[in-house]
Amino acid sequence: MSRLGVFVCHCGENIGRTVDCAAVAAAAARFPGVVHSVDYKYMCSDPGQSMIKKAIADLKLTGVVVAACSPRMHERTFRSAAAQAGLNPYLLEMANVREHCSWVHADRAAATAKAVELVRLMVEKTRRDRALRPVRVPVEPTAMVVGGGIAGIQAALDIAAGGKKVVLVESGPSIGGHMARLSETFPTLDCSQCILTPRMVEAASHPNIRLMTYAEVAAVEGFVGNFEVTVRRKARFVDPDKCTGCGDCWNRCPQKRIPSEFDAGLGARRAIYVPFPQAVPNKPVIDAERCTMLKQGKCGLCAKVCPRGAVDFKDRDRLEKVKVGAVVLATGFELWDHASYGEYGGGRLADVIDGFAFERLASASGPTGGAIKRPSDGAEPKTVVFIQCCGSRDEKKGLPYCSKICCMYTAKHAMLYRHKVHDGEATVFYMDIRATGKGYEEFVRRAIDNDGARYVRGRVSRVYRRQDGRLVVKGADTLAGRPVTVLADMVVLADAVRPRRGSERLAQLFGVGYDQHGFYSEAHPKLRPVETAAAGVFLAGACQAPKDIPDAVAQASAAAAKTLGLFSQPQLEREPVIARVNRNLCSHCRSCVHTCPYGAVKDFEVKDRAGSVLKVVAEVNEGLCQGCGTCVAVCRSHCIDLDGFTDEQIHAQIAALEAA
Amino acid sequence: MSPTPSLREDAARLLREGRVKLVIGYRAHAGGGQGPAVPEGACRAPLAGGGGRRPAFIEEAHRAGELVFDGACSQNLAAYLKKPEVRARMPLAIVASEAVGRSLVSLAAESQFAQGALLALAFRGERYEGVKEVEELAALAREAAPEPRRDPDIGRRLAELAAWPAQRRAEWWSARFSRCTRCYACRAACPGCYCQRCVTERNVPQWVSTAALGHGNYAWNMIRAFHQAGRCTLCGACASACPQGLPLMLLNTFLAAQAAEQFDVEAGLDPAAKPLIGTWDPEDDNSFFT
Repeated sequence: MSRLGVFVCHCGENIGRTVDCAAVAAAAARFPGVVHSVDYKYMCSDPGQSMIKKAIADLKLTGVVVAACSPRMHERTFRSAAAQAGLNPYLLEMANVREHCSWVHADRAAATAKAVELVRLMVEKTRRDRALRPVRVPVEPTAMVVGGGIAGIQAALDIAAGGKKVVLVESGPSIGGHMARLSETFPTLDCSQCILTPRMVEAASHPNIRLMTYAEVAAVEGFVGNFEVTVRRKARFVDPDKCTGCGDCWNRCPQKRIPSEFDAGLGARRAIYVPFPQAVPNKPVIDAERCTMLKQGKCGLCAKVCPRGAVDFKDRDRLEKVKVGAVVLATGFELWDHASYGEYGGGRLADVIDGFAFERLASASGPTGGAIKRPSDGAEPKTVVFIQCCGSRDEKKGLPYCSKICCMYTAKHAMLYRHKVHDGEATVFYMDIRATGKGYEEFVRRAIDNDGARYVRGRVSRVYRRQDGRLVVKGADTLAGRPVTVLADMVVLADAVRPRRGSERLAQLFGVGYDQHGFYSEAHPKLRPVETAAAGVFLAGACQAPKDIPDAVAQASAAAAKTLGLFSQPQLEREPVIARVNRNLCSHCRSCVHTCPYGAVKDFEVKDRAGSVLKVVAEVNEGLCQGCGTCVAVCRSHCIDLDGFTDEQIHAQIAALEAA
Repeated sequence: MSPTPSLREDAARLLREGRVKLVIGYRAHAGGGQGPAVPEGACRAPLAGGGGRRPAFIEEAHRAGELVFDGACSQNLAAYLKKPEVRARMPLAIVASEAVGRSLVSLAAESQFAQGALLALAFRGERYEGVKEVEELAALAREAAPEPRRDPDIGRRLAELAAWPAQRRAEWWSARFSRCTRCYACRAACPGCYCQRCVTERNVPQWVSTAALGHGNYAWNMIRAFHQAGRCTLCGACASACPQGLPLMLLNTFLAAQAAEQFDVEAGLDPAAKPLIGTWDPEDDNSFFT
């Protein structure tokens, strides 16, 4: 026989204003199985929790219903209070009379009646609750970081500093990411490579970090604490153990005119190459698409000149399985393709370039050695127009969101340009200036006040090339309310930030959600910004939303803290809300096996004592199961049930509602 | 009965060689009479007339001569695979008309027998095709029915029903289902109804009332139809087993057509098919979300 206690919370005025809590408590006292029912101003407060604990002890309660806010809010609070009083915490349930009732209704009488019904449902459920124990799963204390940009490097370094092993997987030949391509960084104008390369070297030399460059995640199995990730190690055609990075090969490669991805196409690389001089590892790869030896079987010069015999044209992609307990996704971003803005001439006019191209022009290590020269003829541009929000904040043709970093890097570009071309004119077209970081507003003011950047508020409608080669930028000055035309030698488009191509595929492999643009979804936008819906998979950097370097680094450290927290115990405790198969009734149709989004349902052979297989049934792996209940829904014979949310409980709730 | 000699030879050989322990087929019924009637909408040939046919369970090679096959062999033998006493005699061979063949392929997709545990003595029409593994059976089914087969009369009646207001349609079905006696002959005849415990027999909690009345009848028949969505091969066994003549093929055909149109699923053609209900793809049409 149940002995239930009902505790109705006023939540100050939040519930009490709309719901007559005393009346709810009085009504609940008459429900079957309820022996104690009270209301109180703040149940979550210390005195409130003490009331619950005392009632459990004094009245020997077998279950508790707290009518208060959402279980997401305070279920943990109340369940731990119940546990302290000696009651199995899973015998305590919450009736949500705030979000589901007081906050969404105005009529006090009707809201009170509804609150009574909500409590009635939870009483019926609690009467059928069973004591559950948390599921314990072992943890492999090695992390995988996917993406070797600044966010991935930072996360790897922090986890490694915490004494745990890290596998850092990078799809390109070198770590460093986009940050390695930047000239200077806002808001302090320190040289990007100068602050980044020490981190790259540290990551490469740290005893706890294993670099896997030129590698991609191919498959993921397992679950939090116990992932098995299959990594595709792409063929480098150069044995990194033999190679010393001397450079003889790439200096002799006859393929000299391959546009360098690192230099945004402004510079050239060879078919055997390291993407940039400070690359880590400083070992080349061969671009199989461009190498004549690999394509036609002719040349082989690099192999001939290599003093160590490191070039191996027979190299092939290899798959390697890595066991890890947690994963940090730091796959970063790429720029929106501005070719969709045909009217700006991007991709068509050589002197209309994107932000990365400008970074490479301004960089001392870039194709021009840091001199600002326009791509078409190498002349120094005397007027440069910067167009912000190219693709951002444009629901019609581009993307609805703000790309966040463009206001700042455009101000930086204008500043760098004016530092290098003293008689040059920099004009910035902007919609709004969003400079909300520390020192950011001052930085933009400096570009305008000290460095003479001319800011015009308004959109550019068109960029075209005049017969004399100059670019005509036509736009509107919305502050002055008149059209503007600017003649320019070069135009820099601040293209929108979007997730890297292929990020959706990776999200699907890890069971991580993503929004309509492909940005990875955090578990809670405010309170769990680093976690994902997939336990043990964390986010860092611009794969989640557009982020600048400080934000990406901060989030990377947060992800590392989460990872280290996970690794701080030898076993993980998981909520025991998991599905169970009734082996006697399972007909092994395998619908649940196919449907489980977590791959948690597997075949299980029921054997007799002699070891011969009697029958095969479905079985749920407790570590993998997330308690979503999809298998329960597809099971035609209802032979799967969800602990904590059994069919019987849900049926009883519906029946109670029908009877009322 | 021209095909039967080689059917009998194959059956005898399989038993003699010990490749199977049991052959399930048809034999002539001494009492004569008709086999089960072929209901409207079933994707198999109507009765060719002639004597009655009964299932035959043959375990000794010398009895293989009892086997017959002709258009009168309309019962779906795949339903016997549900029986534990039959399953205990695997590997077995089963005489498979096109309808039985599709049921077997569908059951293979739902892992209802282990690979190699079942051979088919396959027919296409009345032509004997020989001993087939499940994959070959599926190839035969795809070849025999390159286009989905739907009864045109059923299609017309479904179109008429679809034109009605929902309320009238529900009343029409209620009236039909009110005749249901909950004898579960449909379930017994259906090869796909192999659950060890049917949902309607679940009593804690009892989602479906077992009384042969109103809501319970409606729920039972609708749930059975939905449980067949994307799985039913339209063999018609349920409808021909129904003593009350309920128009079950209307439901089955409607759901099969939905499965085909919306998800490109045709049951009984692919032994590696994944279940329609319960699989998803990131490319699935999500336009119904608003």
